[in-house]
Amino acid sequence: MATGLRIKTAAELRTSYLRQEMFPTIFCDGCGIGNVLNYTLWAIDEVGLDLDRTVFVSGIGCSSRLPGYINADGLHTTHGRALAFASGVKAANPDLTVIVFTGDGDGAGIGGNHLLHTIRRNMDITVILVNNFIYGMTGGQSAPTTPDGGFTTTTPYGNIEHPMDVCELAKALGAPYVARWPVVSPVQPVKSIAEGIRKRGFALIEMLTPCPTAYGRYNGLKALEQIWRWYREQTVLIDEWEWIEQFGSPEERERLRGKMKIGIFQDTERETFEDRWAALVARVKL
Amino acid sequence: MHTIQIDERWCKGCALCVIYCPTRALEVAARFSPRGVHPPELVRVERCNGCRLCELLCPDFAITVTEESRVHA
Repeated sequence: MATGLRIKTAAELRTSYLRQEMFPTIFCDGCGIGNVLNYTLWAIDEVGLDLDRTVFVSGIGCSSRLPGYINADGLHTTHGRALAFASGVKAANPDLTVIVFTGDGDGAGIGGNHLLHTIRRNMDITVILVNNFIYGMTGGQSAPTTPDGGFTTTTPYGNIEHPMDVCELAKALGAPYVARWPVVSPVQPVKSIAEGIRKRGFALIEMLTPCPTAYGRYNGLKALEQIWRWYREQTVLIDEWEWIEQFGSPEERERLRGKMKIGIFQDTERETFEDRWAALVARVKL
Repeated sequence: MHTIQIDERWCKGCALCVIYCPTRALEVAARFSPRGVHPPELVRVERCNGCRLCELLCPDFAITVTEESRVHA
């Protein structure tokens, strides 16, 4: 009888996917962006992507540090322009898989217009939008996604602007795959990111990520345990949400106010830019 | 029978694994790691059922759950 340790594949995967010399990550205690990287690697492993044929593109911000940790080709571009660069990469070489890491300030605020037009074109890109409600890296200024009444360094008496719902926007523009998950539960985001990578066309996965340092500090959610629990309490699965809206009592409906809907919002098929481009080239070629 | 391996160079001591452990098998250690944080440790080995939630939730890739399996020779 002999006993032996069977090494789980997870540690091996991480050693094969990560740039070890870049670790530990720059993220604060309780930040969920490390989890987003974790889930993305699990999803990549599930899909079986070849990292030599994958490009990671990012803009500026906390979340945009992620490509630096992955042992694959990456572009760390100017603020908000990650999607423009990603579109260029994909248009020049459609065989590559392009994954974009962007934040809410980077993707929805400064690069909001690029987001609109990349969805409109339906480039075959997977966008992982890390939403922490704030410009975390620059000291906690209010972002387009800051909730109503949220305290930040630029809104010390509470945010009076209506927040932007990135998933509804993508849905309205006809993105083939739109999903939103909080990082507090690991399985659904992993599956969703894998589906997004497999999906032909634009896939947007919004990850709700706790930021105890910049957002939690001003909103009474400074403790790690508290802010992670807050994300669990403030999110409602879309099926449950729709059920309550249809059949729920007024009290139940009142409880939905100010909460965030999570789930897969759209999963359709749409002709991509690459397909149309190939068809156009075949048609007009002399 | 499960064990955990902590990469103490990467662990930031956020204790997410301890908070989310469904069987409460993990505890924050009293000692310091070389980074100057309190790393988690598997105190109640018999309670760990190898669900690997700590491994999935670790933002710093610092924890690995390994299973000790018997090999019939």
